[in-house]
Amino acid sequence: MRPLAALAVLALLAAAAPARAEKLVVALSSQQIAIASNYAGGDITLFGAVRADPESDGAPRRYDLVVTVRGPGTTLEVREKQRTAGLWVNRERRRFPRTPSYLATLSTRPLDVMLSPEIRDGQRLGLKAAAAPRGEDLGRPEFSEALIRLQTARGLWREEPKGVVFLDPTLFRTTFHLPPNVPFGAFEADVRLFSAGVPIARETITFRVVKSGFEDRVAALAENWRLAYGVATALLALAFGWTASVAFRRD
Amino acid sequence: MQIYLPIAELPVDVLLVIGMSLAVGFVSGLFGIGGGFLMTPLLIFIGVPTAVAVASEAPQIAASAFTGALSYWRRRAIDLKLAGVLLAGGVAGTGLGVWFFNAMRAAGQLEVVIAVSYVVLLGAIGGIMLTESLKTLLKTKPSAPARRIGGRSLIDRLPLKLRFKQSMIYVSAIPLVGLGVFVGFVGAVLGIGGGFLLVPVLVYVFRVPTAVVVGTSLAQILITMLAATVLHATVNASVDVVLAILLMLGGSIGAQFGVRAGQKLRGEQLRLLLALLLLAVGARFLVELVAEPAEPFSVSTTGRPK
Repeated sequence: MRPLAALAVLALLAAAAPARAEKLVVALSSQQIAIASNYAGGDITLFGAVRADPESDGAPRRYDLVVTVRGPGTTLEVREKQRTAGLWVNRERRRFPRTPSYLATLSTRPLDVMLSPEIRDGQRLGLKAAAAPRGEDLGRPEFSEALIRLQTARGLWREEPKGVVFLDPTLFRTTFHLPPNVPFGAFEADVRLFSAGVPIARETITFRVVKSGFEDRVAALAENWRLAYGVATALLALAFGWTASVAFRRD
Repeated sequence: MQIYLPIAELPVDVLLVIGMSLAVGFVSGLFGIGGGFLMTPLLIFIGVPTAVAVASEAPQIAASAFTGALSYWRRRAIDLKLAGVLLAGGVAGTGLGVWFFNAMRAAGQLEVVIAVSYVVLLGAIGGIMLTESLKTLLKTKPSAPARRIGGRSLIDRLPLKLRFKQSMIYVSAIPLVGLGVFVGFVGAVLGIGGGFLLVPVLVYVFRVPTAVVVGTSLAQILITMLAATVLHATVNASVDVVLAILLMLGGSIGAQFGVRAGQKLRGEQLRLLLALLLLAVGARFLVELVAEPAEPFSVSTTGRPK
């Protein structure tokens, strides 16, 4: 429903301002990130340009951009420890289904400065929107706050209110960091162009994070050939134990 | 130097992991224990997910138990029949343990179950060993024969008695199988071999001679940990073979130095040191359980990212 609603809003806006149709062109520094054995995190740069409508004759407008990079969606569970019979034990928990495992929100200016709360929430921009409580159980806000805090501490979520820079009036660039514990799968960079707080164009581009070569084969074996993988690991343990016993034999 | 662990899905410092496993291997060679109760918490501490740490520690314990068992085998110091009876329970216990591990992980209580178990087990065994070794050290006489622990008469009255020639005991199979189930269960849940549980019970309760007890316990640990490796791999897909290789490398080398150092110390001194070590690790877990955490919240992924 939500994408449909967003489309409807965009269509309305397009109808309201037919003369000013800007277009976005974006490109990424890499389409695929391969995680090899020495992977310790990496940066991806997104370049883009705003193509003004050639028909338009008005003065150049001031643009704002919000770039949202999302990793594969997953269910995140936040647990809270409470003292129980003298011990700190996980008690309450909240689930956040269909939540991006990786999330970077980069913008030209702080979101609350450039957008009205309605537009910001309607377009679900920013970390707060991603961690908003779901369903009938709205829960305590502490869980949403904890989710943002913990994901940020793990380097998986980040918000950079000045992360997008215009190199000239139409050319822009932003760089986001993928931490060493980055999840695998399809990522999406969603670029939205605003002018005076109103969305005027949108473009998305995708890239993939994959395990490379050896790591990929090991992970695939462990997942798809579970018994064989387990037996092979057990045999390896025997080989190690036997080698050590022969190498260090003293009797 | 970083290396990426394909199952734990995080990079670790190779030298740090090898250094840790060398140190734990030294301790395990020194005391003749597997060292799982030290290594698993250390792995969790450096950020390896609990499930992967516990599962990847199993092949390492199997490897070091195999090295030990081979040298006892050459000296004919393994009671195969006793090991077999313990194993009958051990493999069943391991299966139960892997299942319980999974259930607790799903319920979000795995960390607290592991912490409480460590406190109880390490506290109890460490406490008993500490009092025993202090008594012996203070007397400075050759150690008195181990006293019989209550319940012995009950064990004597159980049916299904078996004669174990090499261990020179005649005892019912029921408590032995039960002991095997317990050690296998605890081993699979906590990522430990359970030698520090098995050896004292065999010595003090079943009165197995010290000469065969270590070899027999190693044989039992070897098979249960091989079973745990295969079961964790098939049920949870959480065995990280790259991590296991690092642990086996460091562990097997460190153990050799530990064995040499251990020969320079007397039995009572070794037991006192081991008791203090067990109590220290137990206390570390106790603090974690009772102290107010700086961050009461934690986040985990319940569904695999698609």
